[in-house]
Amino acid sequence: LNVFFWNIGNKSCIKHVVRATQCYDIDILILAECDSEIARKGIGKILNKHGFTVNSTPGCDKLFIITKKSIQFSLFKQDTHFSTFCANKIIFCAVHFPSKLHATVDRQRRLSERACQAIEETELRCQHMNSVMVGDFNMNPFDEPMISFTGIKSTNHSTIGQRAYTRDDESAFLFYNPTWTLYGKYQMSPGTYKYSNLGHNVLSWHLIDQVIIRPSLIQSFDFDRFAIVQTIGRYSLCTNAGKPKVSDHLPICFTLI
Amino acid sequence: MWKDFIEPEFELPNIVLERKLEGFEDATQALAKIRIVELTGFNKKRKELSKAFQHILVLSSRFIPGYSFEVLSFSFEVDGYPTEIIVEDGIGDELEPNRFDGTEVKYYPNSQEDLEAILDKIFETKKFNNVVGGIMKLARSGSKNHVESDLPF
Repeated sequence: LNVFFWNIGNKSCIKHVVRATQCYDIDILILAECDSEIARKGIGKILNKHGFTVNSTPGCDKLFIITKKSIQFSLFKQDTHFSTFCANKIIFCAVHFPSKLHATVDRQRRLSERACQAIEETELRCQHMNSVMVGDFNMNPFDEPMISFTGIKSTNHSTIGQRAYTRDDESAFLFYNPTWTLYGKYQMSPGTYKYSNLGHNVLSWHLIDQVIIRPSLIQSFDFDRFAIVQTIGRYSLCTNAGKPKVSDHLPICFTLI
Repeated sequence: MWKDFIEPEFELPNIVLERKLEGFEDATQALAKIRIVELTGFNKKRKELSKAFQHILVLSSRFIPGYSFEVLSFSFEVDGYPTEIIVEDGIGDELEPNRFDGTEVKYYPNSQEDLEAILDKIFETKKFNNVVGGIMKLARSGSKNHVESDLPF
């Protein structure tokens, strides 16, 4: 199952998106900031001819979810900031959380908690925990809401078990965040988004487009194919200086075997 | 020793909301459902709600098993008012466009009349109406291979 996520920044990039579905043999395509009806119709119309279905997500307009027709798709909890769905018996929660410019850390933590609750409800309903959260979190893997026990609870510890953890009398299952491994793979530009306005915080590259998985999926996650997408075919998505040029975000793609 | 106790005449917020929801299903040709779910026990860990009796208002459809969209959550004490209402973000953006994006839209109606006025505003938003319309469209296409769902959400 090949999954591709891209915040296209409301840029006209129909041809890049269509090309990506071929180059990366995409099964599930998730786009954020694809707000224009014209762009959605354009992408939908072309991809429909290539064997894809545009999925309606009433309640979540921030994400545009397209799957191969062969994928069994069913919809679960929808929210302005996330969409929960099942694809071939894997539970997905696609997210686009507000940026730090518009939301406090506490607000981001609260939204993270809500998205986690949506996954937990879906897991209860589906009677399994093969779940993936993917999208533009607008947070780095080390930011507090990503790692907080009252937020997303995603750890960098790949051998975490599948048992629930208890803190302060509250039990919860953790996520594993494979995005940490990308720091080693992309040493020159470790991120999907570059924000160069250096202030007190001196980070330039941010890995805010991420995927996190339940421990039960670690064995199925193809770490070698997990990538920040810098080229689609021969076309580079970055300037010579390495900065994203089509959208202000670079896509990510991953494979579940 | 006891004098007769008197029940206050106001309607509790969940009863007001129930009354407001009458006729909703018919208006959607039974393609969409809306219901109030009381949060109890495990579900009552909603840290944003501060009062004792907690409920959420959920849109769903019997033709889209598993689908849900939470329109609002509300809580109140035994005296009913002020009621605490937290509106879904997309609806909140429409009702309070000039607020700082980092905050949830909350209302505290002090009376039954105030509560009804706020509910009317929420149900008139474009977001709410678009979601209901979207559910109807999806439900109609899914109603051909319909599997009845009896879970609350």
